[in-house]
Amino acid sequence: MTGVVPRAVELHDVSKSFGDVLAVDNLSFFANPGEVTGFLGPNGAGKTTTLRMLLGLVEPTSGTATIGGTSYHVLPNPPDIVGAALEASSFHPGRSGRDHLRVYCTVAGYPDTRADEVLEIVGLREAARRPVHAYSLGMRQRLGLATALLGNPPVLLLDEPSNGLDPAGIAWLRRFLKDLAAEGRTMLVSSHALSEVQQIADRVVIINQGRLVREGRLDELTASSRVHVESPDAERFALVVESAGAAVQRSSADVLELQGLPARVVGRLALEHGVELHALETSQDGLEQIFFSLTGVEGDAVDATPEQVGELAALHRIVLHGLEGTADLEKAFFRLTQEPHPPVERPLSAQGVLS
Amino acid sequence: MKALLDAELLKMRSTRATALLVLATLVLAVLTVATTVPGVIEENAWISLDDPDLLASVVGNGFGAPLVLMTLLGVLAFTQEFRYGTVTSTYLGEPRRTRVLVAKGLSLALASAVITTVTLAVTLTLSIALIRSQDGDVTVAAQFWQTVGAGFVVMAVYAVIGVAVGALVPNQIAAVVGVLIWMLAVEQMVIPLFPGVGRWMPFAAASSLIQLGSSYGDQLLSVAMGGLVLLGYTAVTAVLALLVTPKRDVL
Repeated sequence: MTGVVPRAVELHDVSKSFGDVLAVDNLSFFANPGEVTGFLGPNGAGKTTTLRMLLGLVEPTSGTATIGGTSYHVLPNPPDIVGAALEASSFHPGRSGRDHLRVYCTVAGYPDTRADEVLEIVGLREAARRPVHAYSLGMRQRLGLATALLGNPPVLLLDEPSNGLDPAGIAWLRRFLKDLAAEGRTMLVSSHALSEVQQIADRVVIINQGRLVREGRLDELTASSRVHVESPDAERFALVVESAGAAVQRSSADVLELQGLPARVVGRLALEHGVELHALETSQDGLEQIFFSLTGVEGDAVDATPEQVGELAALHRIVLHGLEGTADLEKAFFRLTQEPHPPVERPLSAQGVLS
Repeated sequence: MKALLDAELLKMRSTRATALLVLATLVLAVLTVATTVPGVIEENAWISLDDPDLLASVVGNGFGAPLVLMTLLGVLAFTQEFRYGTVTSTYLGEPRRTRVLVAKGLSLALASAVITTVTLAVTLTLSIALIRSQDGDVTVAAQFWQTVGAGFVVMAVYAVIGVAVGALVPNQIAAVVGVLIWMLAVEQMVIPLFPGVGRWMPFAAASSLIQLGSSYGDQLLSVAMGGLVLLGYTAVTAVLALLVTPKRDVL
């Protein structure tokens, strides 16, 4: 089915119906080692069902879902191979985080010291002996990650890992997931937080109503997103990029909005043609726009002004991370809360809005 | 299997619910013993203080509450996992679900041996003290040892049936309420009122094994028949659980 070498994670023509409801419809995709594969879709698209089919928790109606070419229930000691964190709520509230991990260490044959190691890794050492009901949502997410990491597995399946994390936690998670992928692991990460996915994913798989709507490398997908260019030479440069295949919109005398070329190509063209650039910026909501256009789902706050977003921030902190302007709010948050500032790579033009 | 069994035992030990349930049961068992020894609380003697089977009967009656507890502990072994979503991690660690089911059955059977020992230590000490205080007969006759032996067997059987019921009815409230209504209301009414039907019920079969025939006007099945009936209930629920568990989607 896949030739000689099986994919680390693969779904092949997988369908699942619950009664009359077709939750997953003939879905095929894969995830590769060393990459973060973002798994996107609106609520109810079938993401969680799909992950559960990969893990042998839900039986597909048809098709095969495999890890390294093998279905989950015939893996020898699966925690050695696959780590999974599904939902932040899968803990007995009266059991301590450490005891929770010890249970699964016992099942998989790891020493109890491994529980302490993963608690250290996810930053829960202090809370190890407290019952889980005393944990915040963010701490539960970390405990879920710790459970997934027990066997130091080469494949990780994570369902909405950034849910409930505060901005410092999200910055931590971003680095953490990138590091895990850099170690050569296969990472399949489902998320609503598009801007988060945009920052960590190498590939994305987008599903809607159980069907695959788009799959590909993130840079290829977002190549079709807008590139904002400011140049005193805009008129001439418009012709250059047009002949290179971009759709050009000239919004003012020296501002161009391009579609169809990634920023790095636009930059190279400018260099080659000796065009002076004052700004070259890929629009931050590239993935979001793709997502919305493919899934037909529209976020209410997408067009909100920074002030409106700021008001929303108080109410819906998590929602913010899927919105334009996140970077600025994130910076503002770190400034205001005096949290340690994570390295944030942003173009100069994005600074100063909220400071 | 050893690893799975150890993990199940750790699950039981690592929450306070287990200890609280056991404690509550011991209190109930103590109350039962206190009310069954003639003359201590109730004057109406259902058994003579001179009866050589007095000790066995009092200790046997003391198993009423512990049997309910064992069933509930068995039920909770699965329903708690469904309720709190830990079943996901459990099946990720061991995707062969029938092995998980067997490990839970074994762990509860082991727990039942410990709980039965503790129960007996408490009820026996109290029974002897109370019977002596009434100048009664504390003969340790053959029936006493049968009652004690049967107590271990019946407690283990109820634990296993509980595990199977929990696997079949994942909704914790439905499972717990169902078990309580069955054990505390249905059986308690039907067995004495309609012994023709009632003696085929699990608790009547268990009672015949524990030698409580005299408490039910000698209308229970024979020990052998009671044992068979109980075995039948265990087999049917266990087989159903083994068939259903691997097929059920964990959402």
